[in-house]
Amino acid sequence: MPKLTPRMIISLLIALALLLLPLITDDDNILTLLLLTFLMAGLASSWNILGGYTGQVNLGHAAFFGIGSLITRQMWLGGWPFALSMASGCVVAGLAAAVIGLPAFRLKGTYFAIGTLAMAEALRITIGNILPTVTNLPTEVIRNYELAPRYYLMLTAVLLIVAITIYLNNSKLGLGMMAVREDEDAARAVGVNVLRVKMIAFVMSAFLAGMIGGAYAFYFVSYYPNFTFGPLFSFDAITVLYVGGVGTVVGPLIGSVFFVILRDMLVKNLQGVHQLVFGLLFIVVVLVLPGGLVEAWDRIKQYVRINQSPTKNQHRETKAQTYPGENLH
Amino acid sequence: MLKINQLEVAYGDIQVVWGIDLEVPPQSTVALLGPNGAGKTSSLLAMMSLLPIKAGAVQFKGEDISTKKTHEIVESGLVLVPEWRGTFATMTVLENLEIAAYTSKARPLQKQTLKEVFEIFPRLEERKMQKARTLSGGERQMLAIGRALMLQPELLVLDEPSLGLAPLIVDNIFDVIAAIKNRGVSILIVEQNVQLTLESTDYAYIIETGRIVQQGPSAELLKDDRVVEAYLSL
Repeated sequence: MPKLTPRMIISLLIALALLLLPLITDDDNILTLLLLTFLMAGLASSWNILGGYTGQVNLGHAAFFGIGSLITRQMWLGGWPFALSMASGCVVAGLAAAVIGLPAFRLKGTYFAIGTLAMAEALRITIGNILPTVTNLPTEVIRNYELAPRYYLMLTAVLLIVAITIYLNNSKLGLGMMAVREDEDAARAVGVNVLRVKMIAFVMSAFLAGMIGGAYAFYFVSYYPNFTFGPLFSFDAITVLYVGGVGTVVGPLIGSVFFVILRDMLVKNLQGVHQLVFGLLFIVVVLVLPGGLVEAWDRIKQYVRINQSPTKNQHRETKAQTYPGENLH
Repeated sequence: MLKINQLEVAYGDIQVVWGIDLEVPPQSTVALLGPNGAGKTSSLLAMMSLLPIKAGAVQFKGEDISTKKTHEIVESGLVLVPEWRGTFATMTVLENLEIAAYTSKARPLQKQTLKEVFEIFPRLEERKMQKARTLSGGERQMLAIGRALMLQPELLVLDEPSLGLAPLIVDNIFDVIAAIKNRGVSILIVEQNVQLTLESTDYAYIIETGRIVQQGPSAELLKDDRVVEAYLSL
């Protein structure tokens, strides 16, 4: 058991505060905003496993989010217990990744990205044609609708994903993923089964995206079945992750808070242009701050440290850093 | 231990290796020498299944490995230190070494091997928490070799270990190679530094434009007129 660092204590306190919050307030605005933050954090964190750790840019992440929500929703509305429906959603999303992964990983880099994007779009259009009508929660459910359980479900899902990424940071599997990201041939040369590691990362990433999709299906009163397959869910997740810090545990969490607050402000005041703002923000981050807000924080800490101890210049050497996401673009 | 038979390698239509034969007996140090573009690295990559083999056979410990996957070849004890080194830049020195204990054979011995690697390369222990990208070229080569040792190789293949390093560091690397040899590991070394390599190996092959043009005990090649004229006279 590692000993408690200040960072861990702060993290635990924040998690505890989020767990207790619905008991203190029943302000739907606050809970909704937080729930949407969890949604983005969950999507970004699950993308991070394949994109940030393993270096495979999947532009079709929404497909797995969509599959998770679709299966969960259809089974649940069809009378199955919710827990079973959601578990099925996760499993089917993971299986879909296994099926898609084998051919898709014959592609590399940009081609993999394009392939996954095309796959998600094809799925979105297909689902839109098969199930063209809005699904509504039954009146019974709407009458007793409460936000708190939805909030808890999404929070739990995110905490689980965060726990998994923390585990990856310290595990053999996580090291294997990072090695694949850094240099595939060198990873092979040290005995890593590259295809296997990519497949595990893809299935994990999709399973967890499906889980977030299931929680989302529980939250929304009515939507078109193909709504959750929309490409925006992929691109928003990627924006969140890069703004926060790709390939890190806290990056997606910080990024999602920043993203949801900014989006809320923009939608209220500058409706219509918020997508444009996020597009520009994404480009600026990639060019200027490839490690995202996590990197900004590290730079501030470094600056303070150097100014406090002018004789110890060795900190400067780490300034010329490359970041995990660097080889992705 | 390693037996390469009529190996041919091509990049698409362009063939670069035209049927080479090479053998590394157990407990020996063998060199593959030759100029740029002769097909040295291509042969090694094909042997490790990092490049497709066009024709020919590769046997390791009496077993055909030409259809095996790279990670399976590594698991069987044939380990390559690539020319580009391939140290994982954003990972720490320690993580770079730990990941190399990936195979089922290396994992149980990880702690012991790590100690041995740090004995051979004290510099790596000093820097174990640093990211690999902050290392110098020589340190990166040490890390690449250390990482290969973590995999418990029976035959260590070194692709141009002296490439781009200062002369003093090259000497250091060759000392290390001698130390590894003394631990009972066979070595196949590809080099352009002919003098130093012939002095520290048992047997050598000379490859030019994809064909073996000469071979013999290293000590003899060191005195051979053609070799001296082509590679050693300046």
